[in-house]
Amino acid sequence: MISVQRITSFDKTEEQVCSCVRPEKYEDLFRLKGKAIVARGAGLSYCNAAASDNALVVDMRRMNRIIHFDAVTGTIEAEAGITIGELNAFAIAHEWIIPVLPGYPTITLGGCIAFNIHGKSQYKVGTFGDWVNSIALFHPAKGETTCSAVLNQELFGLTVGGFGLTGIILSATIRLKKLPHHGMQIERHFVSDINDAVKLMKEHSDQFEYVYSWNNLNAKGSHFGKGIVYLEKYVTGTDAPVKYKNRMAPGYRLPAVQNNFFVKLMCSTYYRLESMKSKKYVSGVTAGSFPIYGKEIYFHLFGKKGFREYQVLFPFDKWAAASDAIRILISKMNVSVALGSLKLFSGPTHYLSFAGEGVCITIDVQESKNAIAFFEKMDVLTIQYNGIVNLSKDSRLSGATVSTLFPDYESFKAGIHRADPQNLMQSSLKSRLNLRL
Amino acid sequence: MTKTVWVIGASSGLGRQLSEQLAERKYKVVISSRNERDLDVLCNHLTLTTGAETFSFPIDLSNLTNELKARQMVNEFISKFGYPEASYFVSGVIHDEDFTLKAASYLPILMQVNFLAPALLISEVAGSNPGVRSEIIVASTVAASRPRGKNIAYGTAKRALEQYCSGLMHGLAGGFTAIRVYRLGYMDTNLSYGQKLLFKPASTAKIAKALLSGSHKKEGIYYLPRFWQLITFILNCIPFAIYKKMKF
Repeated sequence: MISVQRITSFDKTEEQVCSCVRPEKYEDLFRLKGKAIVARGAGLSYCNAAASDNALVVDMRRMNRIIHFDAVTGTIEAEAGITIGELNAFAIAHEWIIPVLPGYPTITLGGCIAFNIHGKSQYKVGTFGDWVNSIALFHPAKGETTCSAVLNQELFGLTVGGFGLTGIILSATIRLKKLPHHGMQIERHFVSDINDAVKLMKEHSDQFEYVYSWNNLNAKGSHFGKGIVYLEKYVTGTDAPVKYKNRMAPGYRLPAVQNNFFVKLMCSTYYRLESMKSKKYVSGVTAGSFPIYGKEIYFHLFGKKGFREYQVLFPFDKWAAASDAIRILISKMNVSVALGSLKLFSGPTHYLSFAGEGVCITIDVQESKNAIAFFEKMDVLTIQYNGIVNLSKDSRLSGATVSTLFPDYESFKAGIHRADPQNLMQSSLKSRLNLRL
Repeated sequence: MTKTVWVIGASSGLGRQLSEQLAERKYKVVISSRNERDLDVLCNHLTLTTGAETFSFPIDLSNLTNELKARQMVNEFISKFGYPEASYFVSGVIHDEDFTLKAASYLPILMQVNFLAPALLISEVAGSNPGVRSEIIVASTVAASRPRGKNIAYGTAKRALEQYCSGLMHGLAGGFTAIRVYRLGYMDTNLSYGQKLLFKPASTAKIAKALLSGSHKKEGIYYLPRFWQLITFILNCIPFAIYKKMKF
């Protein structure tokens, strides 16, 4: 049954009216043969990557069954609509864990592959795609295909981080990591500025499983980026299962309260509250897996207008100069940053995926004209310091800018054309990035 | 010994939810529907996530046209899995063009799948009872309570099934098999996905839970969610002169 729905991007800056279906059986899916389609999972992409004016939106959340699990080798095959929270809970119950976990548990397996997402331990375990063995795809013209690192290699490479443009991911087999303990020890280290944070993170990255930071980017001068570095590792402990609910739906419409004063107050309050808490504590590994779960109010407080996020990866050798330039830009443009955060990255680049070596910085601001002007200046900085932007967190960049940021833009575009010459796989993101030959 | 339960129409919607909840309760669950691939995937999922014994038993209700075929099917089931102490008939097919005069085109297939085949199977399951307490649960629809211009063939088939089951309830009263029919209101299935409905659809998980918790109930016709009993009562009280002007 086709329904007409209003689809909003997670950052609430894009909205489209789309025709949608929600298959629960393979025969329902295969009826879409010959049609222009776009797959949709949890709908938590910051842009409308899973919506289109010209194609049928296929909501995959009911295609969510676990197909096979090998408890000896730690491989699991599941349908694309299963949430990563459910899949991880299953793995933990069998003494394994998904090595790359996004911030929120209701993101689907298909979404994790399509955006080749990263977690809090990117520098250690790479991106999600590094753990995918094989993918079953459905293309409306070609039917069902399987691809892996040895079978249909090019298709596999394009599908991992391919924004769902090679076909609908039906299922995937991924490798899990052995879970050493059920407890997670979390340490809070207070740092005086942004460079201090990076130094501490680099020093401890080998001994800890997860390393990331929260930074106050509203702090002026030498205190810019004053914040907390979180260091996490597995320790003996007890764990309790959690039944996750999606409280992130962008349909929430709270009044916007994130003005300049509130944002600065919120950041300083968060810092104070964190400094009052214990510097070291142990939580269950399930509860510790998804740091954003339970903190959804942060996103809803941006209200109807929404927000924008800029997540950029700078090479290590450019980091000091880039962070200094960001400090000057924020101060000059009088931007209030609601969230500043850092992670360390390592590994190779891959088409338009957010992957590579360096320091990743995340900046959230309330949607406004000033925010867009600020992000446009950030684009210039990113190009100047050889950075790349996370396209799953962006709803603004044009194809021309992306082609400047990503050296593999043209080869990705050509590959997508080979995989989908009839242009049946559509999305708003594809149109904006001009990914059609 | 583990109780065997049979879910007909298990691959999606309410049937899938029932199968999941029955497997969580560690029954030996046999799931049936037309599509083998979906059944096999669901079987694996249930076994992996609950540890229960689950089996796939494909059935195409559109081919189950006479008593002999139904008997063969039920005998095959009993020889493979034992007699089902609970059978859930929750399959149902609708068609977009099942309205006004167009409905006649879909009457044969919708009657076959929604009435004839389930009725034949219900009779065979009840007739094969080896003398154990068992129950047959049949999913009907509130659409069967007062006919309207849409889903005519579907509503007719479900009404016929209710009538047939009511007859069996009377005929088999005092025996080992209890038959209960549930008239179901809007549910969050693929049919209601994204539709603007008069009432919020109930989750299939809640309906499945209510069905399972009703095993102590006597034979009869029940409503789920229960408020639909009041709504259908009101609808039935409306004189046709007014009812014919209502568009829904």
